[in-house]
Amino acid sequence: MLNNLPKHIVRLLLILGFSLLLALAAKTYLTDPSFYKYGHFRADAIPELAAGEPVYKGSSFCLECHKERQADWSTGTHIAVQCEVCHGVYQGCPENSKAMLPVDTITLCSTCHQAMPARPARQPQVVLAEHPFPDEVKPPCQTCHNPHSPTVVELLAESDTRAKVEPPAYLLTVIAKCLKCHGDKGQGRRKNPPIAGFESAVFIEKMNQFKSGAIGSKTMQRYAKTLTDEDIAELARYYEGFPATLPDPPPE
Amino acid sequence: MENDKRKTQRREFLCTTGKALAGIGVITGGGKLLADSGKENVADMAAKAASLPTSEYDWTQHRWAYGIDATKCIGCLRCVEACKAENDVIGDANHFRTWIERYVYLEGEDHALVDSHADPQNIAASGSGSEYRFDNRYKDEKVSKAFFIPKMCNHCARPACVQVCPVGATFRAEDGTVLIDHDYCIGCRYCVQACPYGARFFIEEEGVSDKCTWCYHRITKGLMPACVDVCPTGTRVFGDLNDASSPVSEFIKNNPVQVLRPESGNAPMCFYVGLDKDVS
Amino acid sequence: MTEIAPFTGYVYPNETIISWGVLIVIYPYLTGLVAGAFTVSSFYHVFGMQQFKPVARLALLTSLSVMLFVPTPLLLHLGHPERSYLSMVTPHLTSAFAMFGFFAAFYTILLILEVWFVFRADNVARAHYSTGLARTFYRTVTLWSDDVSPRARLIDSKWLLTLAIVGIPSAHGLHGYIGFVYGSLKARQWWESDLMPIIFLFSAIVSGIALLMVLYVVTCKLRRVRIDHACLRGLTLALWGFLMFTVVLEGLEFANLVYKGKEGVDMIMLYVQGPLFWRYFVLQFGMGALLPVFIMGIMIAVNLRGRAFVIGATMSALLVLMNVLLMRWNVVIGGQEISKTGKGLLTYLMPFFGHESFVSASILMIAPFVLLWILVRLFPPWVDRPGDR
Repeated sequence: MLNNLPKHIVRLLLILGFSLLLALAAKTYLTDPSFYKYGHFRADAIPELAAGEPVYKGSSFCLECHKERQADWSTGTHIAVQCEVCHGVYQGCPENSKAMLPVDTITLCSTCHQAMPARPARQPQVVLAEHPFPDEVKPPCQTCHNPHSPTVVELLAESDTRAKVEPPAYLLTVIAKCLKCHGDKGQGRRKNPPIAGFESAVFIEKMNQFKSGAIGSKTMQRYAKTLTDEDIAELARYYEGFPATLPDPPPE
Repeated sequence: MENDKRKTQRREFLCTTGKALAGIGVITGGGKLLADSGKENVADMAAKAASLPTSEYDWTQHRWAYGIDATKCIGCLRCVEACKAENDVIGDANHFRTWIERYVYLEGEDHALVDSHADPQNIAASGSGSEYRFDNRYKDEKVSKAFFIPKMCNHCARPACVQVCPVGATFRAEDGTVLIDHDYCIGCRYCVQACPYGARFFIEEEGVSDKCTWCYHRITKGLMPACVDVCPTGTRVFGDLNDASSPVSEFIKNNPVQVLRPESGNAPMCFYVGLDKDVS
Repeated sequence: MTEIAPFTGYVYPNETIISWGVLIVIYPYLTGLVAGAFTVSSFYHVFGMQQFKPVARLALLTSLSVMLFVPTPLLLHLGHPERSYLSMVTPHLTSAFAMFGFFAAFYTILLILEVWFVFRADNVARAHYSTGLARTFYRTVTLWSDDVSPRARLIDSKWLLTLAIVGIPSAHGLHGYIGFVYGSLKARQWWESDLMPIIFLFSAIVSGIALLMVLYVVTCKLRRVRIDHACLRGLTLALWGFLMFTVVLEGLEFANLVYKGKEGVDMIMLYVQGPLFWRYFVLQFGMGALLPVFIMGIMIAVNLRGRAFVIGATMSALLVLMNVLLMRWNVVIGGQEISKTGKGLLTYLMPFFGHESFVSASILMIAPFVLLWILVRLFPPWVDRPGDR
């Protein structure tokens, strides 16, 4: 049959036929092997999408170390507020704790508590201009409210800051150095984190990590290297006796 | 005479070669197709035996759904910021996997004034590119009714976005999550047009479309989506419809729930309590 | 450089970047020209209307040169153009977009074949008379065959007829699916209409006829050849008829929208009477459609001849080309300027430079005609009668 057709028609048909074969071969070769397995999509995409590392750690993660906050938080109304909501996404504690300490609490707290017409009435709200008194320089919220348990408005009572444990005499100079940065009640100041009330096991673990250089802050690594294991254990017992307080507000 | 003979010989040679090549092509092509389809069946069975996508999570065992109680939303926008941090979403006012709308009825008005994060006044009241706030523009107005409505991808059971994708880059997983394969998307944005809820957007830098994934990387590990975790008022609820005691099953059982735009036929899986007549 | 669209009222935050810009306006415009030019050539090649002989081959070349540029606005628009082949490897058959690859490939091959057959005899002759590189070129194009026997010519004409007949639904499918993409989208009321594919199709035919009218007059002037008035008249009549039907369809679609008055129609009415008033009523409907219908009607009624007729016909054709471009703009951009919330309006700001910009769109509008100029010199489509010069 082909012999009867003019040669240009034959050549044309050959070209078309060859192109069709090429197209079919391309389709087979180019289709991803995991496609069509469960539907019209690349099945390999599912495990890829499930593989990402979660960014938010959740409060149970924070409370593994910060048991000193557990009592307040779990009995107050802010149990509904996860740690990372106010402190930001976990970035590594204590090496990045500076970044995780809220600084401008007035802006932070008013995110939820500023009076706004669309907010449901059951949400505690204040008109900022009139709280706590009109026409006054506003003190930071934590002056009057414990952010971890803000149910009742009260001025933070002057608590007994004497440690329950007497420190060994040879550590007094060391302790003086600690409290210079971490505040006289161990509450934390100038963006240095609090050390008051930490469970001793957590304290020892963190100091050892500083000592071995596993976590950063060159200052802390230097200090930790000067301490023996017995020194660290004594300090841990000493600071455990401090009541957990809030850091000093940053300087203006 | 010689020429003609040679021409005929050449023609016959080309003819035969052509037929042979065509035959080989058909046989190899067809053979490969058959072999591939056979391969798929075996792989299919093997894969279904193991669990997908991870060894701890089997997507055939879950039927996810989402609940939103808009009467509880205080518009704090922690969910919006958490979503952006968790999923590395562009930190500007034009790309959102989830957002909150504020509806305010002034006294005497029949229709609400609506604003959200792309509003210039709210942008001015916000912090950096990834910090979001509502401004307090109505504080001196007479407001008769006002509320917040969280919005997000509804992970529809009959998604229009999946239907229109020309290549199969977006799809509905067997656990009900509608996902996007960023390595397959060609960036045509037909899905962005097709979504009646405005839930999808285009990532210009990556050239692909994106949307809420119900934090698939979290729910496959037994965690909640980030927005559900950080919500301080319990507005957002997530869970497994296969489990009658899950938060979302309880939510649906204990409340008359609605969906957005039921007439679209998309069968959304985000169930709302507290929708108002003006919510679109 | 992504332009944030300013808005009034309330729009979804994700809508503030308009996804389908000027390139998606150019794409249906070019495809429309392809379908329309092919329709003009089919007047002669299928329906045997002799008065269209002078433009029939020019129409085929126009259709081909525009068709070769049709994928370009799409490729420029895609986020990952290098993955565009996936729509043919794993086409999602529920999506209208997936059909593009197949329609376009099939139609392009068909068009190339038809052009090949139409010009084959001429190319064989040219292969004979030329030397050097030109000879090699024409020999290759004719597939090294110089068979122009009556039998070969008969086979040619059979192929031509078959291709031309198959080409009509194929060209219309190529353009009609675009109308379907918009008409079937339930998320936007401005687009959702059963009439959309028909409207796109008929305005495509109209744009093709108008384009051929302009091209024919311009090429005659450039070649200093007498214009075949029967041909121009035939084109004008065709344009007039199809244009009136298109106006009726577009009017029907808008009337339906207003009459049904579904939720969101308030915003549409605000939009049409406000930002869209000039673009839609005055320019598209008024100057672009009703005015040429009127001009052409008068010319046909008084049997206008001569130079005045040529001027009137050319002007009408230019107005219609503007109308069709505006129609694409008003549908694509207009639809996105009406927010899905039904509570707000946005404004599309077209960038001047960039991927999807005035400059890139202009280049894509001009490039097919540069290619046409090249094709016309390689394969002259002219059918001058003696004494035409």
